[in-house]
Amino acid sequence: MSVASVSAGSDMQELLEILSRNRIRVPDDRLDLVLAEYRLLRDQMNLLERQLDSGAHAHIMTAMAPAERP
Amino acid sequence: MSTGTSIRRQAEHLRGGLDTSAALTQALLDRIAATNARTCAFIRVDSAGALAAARQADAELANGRVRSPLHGIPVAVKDIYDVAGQPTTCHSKLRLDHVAEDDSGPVQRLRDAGAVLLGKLATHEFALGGPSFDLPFPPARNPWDLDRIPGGSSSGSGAAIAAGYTRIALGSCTGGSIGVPAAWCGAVGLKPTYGRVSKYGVFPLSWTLDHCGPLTRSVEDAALTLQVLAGHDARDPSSAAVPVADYTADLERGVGNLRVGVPRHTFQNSPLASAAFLDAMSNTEAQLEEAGAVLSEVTLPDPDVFLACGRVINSAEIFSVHRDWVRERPQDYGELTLPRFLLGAAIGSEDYLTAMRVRRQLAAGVNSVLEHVDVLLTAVTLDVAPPFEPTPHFRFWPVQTYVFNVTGHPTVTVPVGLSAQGLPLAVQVVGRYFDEATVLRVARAIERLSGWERQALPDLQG
Repeated sequence: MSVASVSAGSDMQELLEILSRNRIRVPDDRLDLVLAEYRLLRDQMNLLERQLDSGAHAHIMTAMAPAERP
Repeated sequence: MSTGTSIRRQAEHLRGGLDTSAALTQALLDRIAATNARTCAFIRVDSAGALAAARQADAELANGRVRSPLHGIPVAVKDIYDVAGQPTTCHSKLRLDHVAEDDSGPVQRLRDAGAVLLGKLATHEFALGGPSFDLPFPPARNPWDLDRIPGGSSSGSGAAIAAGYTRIALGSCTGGSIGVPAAWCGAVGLKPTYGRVSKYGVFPLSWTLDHCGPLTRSVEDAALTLQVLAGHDARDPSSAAVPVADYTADLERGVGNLRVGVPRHTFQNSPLASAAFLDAMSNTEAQLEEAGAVLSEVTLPDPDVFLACGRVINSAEIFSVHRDWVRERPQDYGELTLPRFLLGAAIGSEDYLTAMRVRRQLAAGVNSVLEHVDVLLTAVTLDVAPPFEPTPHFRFWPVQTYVFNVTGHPTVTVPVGLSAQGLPLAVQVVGRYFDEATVLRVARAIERLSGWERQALPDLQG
């Protein structure tokens, strides 16, 4: 088994565990679509983790500030 | 009188007794009846309600009561906006039996302004998904080429403008759903500042990214519509109590000495950028400089980070809204929608909050650029509308969205011409928070300089 296929299997396993934990059933024929989206999203979460300036406490806000003005 | 006449001029005719709202409304209903089977822009037309509202407007105007510049003007709304007594299906099997009890905030403002509601417009399922054939209504088609998609998710709104069904169609935007259909359908798309227009009664997709705004035939129409829609609504927790500007006062002032920043790095070297789009952007830059604007190149944070930030927030919030349906009725979602709607299950609180913190960094980055320029000129789509595909699947469209949904800055998408295939091309103007007036002023200059204001609509009758 190649490294790539091990990774694919492991990703699918991870995804199935998340779905099971959240009581979500996905038709078998849609699993590949979900897996592709899941991988992309996981890459994007990793990118954000690298971008976060943890020391910038002014950025610790959990909502947009609608009345913010220039 | 037809949709070829500006809203301002239509309103003058109605006030002056030269025409009636009932006649205008009937003409549009006839046009919709003749061609909607091909464009699929409307999923529900309320002929009786529209004509009753038009007759009421005519009676009020005849008595000298003028509610607003939209009094007697026909409009349409995307089918995620509640209209009292009518279904809000969100283009989904999951909502076919829903009937709204109350008007949404924007619809109420339109009604109070005397506008005439023609009906509900197609969208992608719950304003995401994609152009799909497994939903309860067919996808809207692009009137410039019916084999091409109109963009989305405000797909019916874009198609309705291009088909000449109305000059004002409300859309919504979470990651480009106003700008993309506006660009691909040759409409003006206004995404106001986050909080500027109420979202009360508008079905949420991702509530910290969602914006309500109009797609219109012209920039002036967009300004007049925003004048009616803008304002605080206590029923929407994200609504901003910020004074409403006069959006038409400076519309014709031109761009002399205005500073325009161009973040060329965000589109110039993209493999998805077509030569036609790049030419259109270059021409727009040259026209603005010729008209007296001062252009400079600026640098924004990496677009990939905006996209990642938007997708993580979007996925988490969507799952929060749809969790029960995803668990109980997964088979009722479209094939393209379900995978995207359940992904939020994979996002933990730490991931969501990291995205929110990065979001503040990104907004601060854009604000710092806007300290040195008055507006940004950038891309929203990098090519013309693509064709429908027989089998729906995920694909990356040639679009550049999410950036200003993540930050909440106001944007106007404005068409600038047609490609060699006769398909619309557009650019996007972005401004400071709550400075829609300057954004509209620059967009109006582009509309005039490009000659788009003289562009005829595609011929659907032929």
